Amino acid sequence: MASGVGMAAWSFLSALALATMLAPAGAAAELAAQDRQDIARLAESRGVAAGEVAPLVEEIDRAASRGLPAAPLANKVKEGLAKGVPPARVQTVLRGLVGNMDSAVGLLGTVPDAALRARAIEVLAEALGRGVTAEDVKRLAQGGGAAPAESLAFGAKGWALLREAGIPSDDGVALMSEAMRHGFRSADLLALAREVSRRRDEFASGRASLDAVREAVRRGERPERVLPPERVERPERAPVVAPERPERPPEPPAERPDRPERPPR
Amino acid sequence: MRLAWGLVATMVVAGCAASLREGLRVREGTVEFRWRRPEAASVAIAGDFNGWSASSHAMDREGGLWTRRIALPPGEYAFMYVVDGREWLTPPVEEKVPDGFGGWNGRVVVP
Repeated sequence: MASGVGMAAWSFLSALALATMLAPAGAAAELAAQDRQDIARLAESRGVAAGEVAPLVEEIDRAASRGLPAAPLANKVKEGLAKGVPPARVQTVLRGLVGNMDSAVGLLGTVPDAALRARAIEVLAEALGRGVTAEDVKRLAQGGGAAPAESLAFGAKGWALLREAGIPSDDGVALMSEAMRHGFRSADLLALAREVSRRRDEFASGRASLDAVREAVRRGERPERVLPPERVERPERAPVVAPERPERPPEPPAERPDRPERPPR
Repeated sequence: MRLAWGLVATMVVAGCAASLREGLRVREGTVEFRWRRPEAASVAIAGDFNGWSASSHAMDREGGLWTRRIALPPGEYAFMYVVDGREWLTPPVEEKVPDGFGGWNGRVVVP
């Protein structure tokens, strides 16, 4: 019992010491203190040395000093450490995310509200990370009229979802642009994209038409009414084999690939 | 009368089947996670809503299912299931997103 308490105290003090080492000297911390402590605690629990995790925190601090949102970057570091990903690999992913955020800043332009700006940067960076190109974003901005930056970011993310569902680029970008131009809220843009993605078979088979959906948006239909009623096909006999969906990206593995576990210290 | 009893029996069976189903249920700001993993000794949910903690949101065993309800503010959340404190597995949900590290996170949307 006593040794258990001693171990717990030692773990706490180790995490505290690591958090202290990770704290920036002098300048005000850009990364929230809680995030800093969480990263230190996760690193300590995974047996990651302070010297290996410090560059990750420095990377976040540098990004935050340029005005990029620190919270999603800290979240990615926590995720990687929690999953036992080697710190060098976490840093590579972190740098990719920072790069996408920098690109997002350039595409979004000036956003006066700090909270909206951070959200737009995070969402657009995610879209860029999921295969949306800067050219796509420019097309969305042109087609979306005077839509605010947040709408542009969510429109891009909506296009990412449609793209992953196999919707052709011209159709997907045109639909999101139309919805942006007609004032769809961020949540509505994503809901529309998700619903089209979910019903992709109807659009692929011609039972539903994206042109008709876009026309409904153009007419000013409410977001929940732009899609046609869902028609459930009832075959007389159940198919022996489920139909193939060639247009869908490959399904992720049900389980993560084996990754060597770090033995606890 | 026989028809009425038949309907009641059908509803009871359907209700039982629904309660045994794995997946996500989102209702009024609460997400119910349900996952079939009978061989696991413990299962926890780790995601961006809990700082990817593999211990803070343990699931409860209900027969062959592991369940947990979590109240979450509106937003989108990435998560995975952690089996026996060490094995990180992608949830069998409709929307999955690459985690950047070579794996896939499940995603739940709270309207």
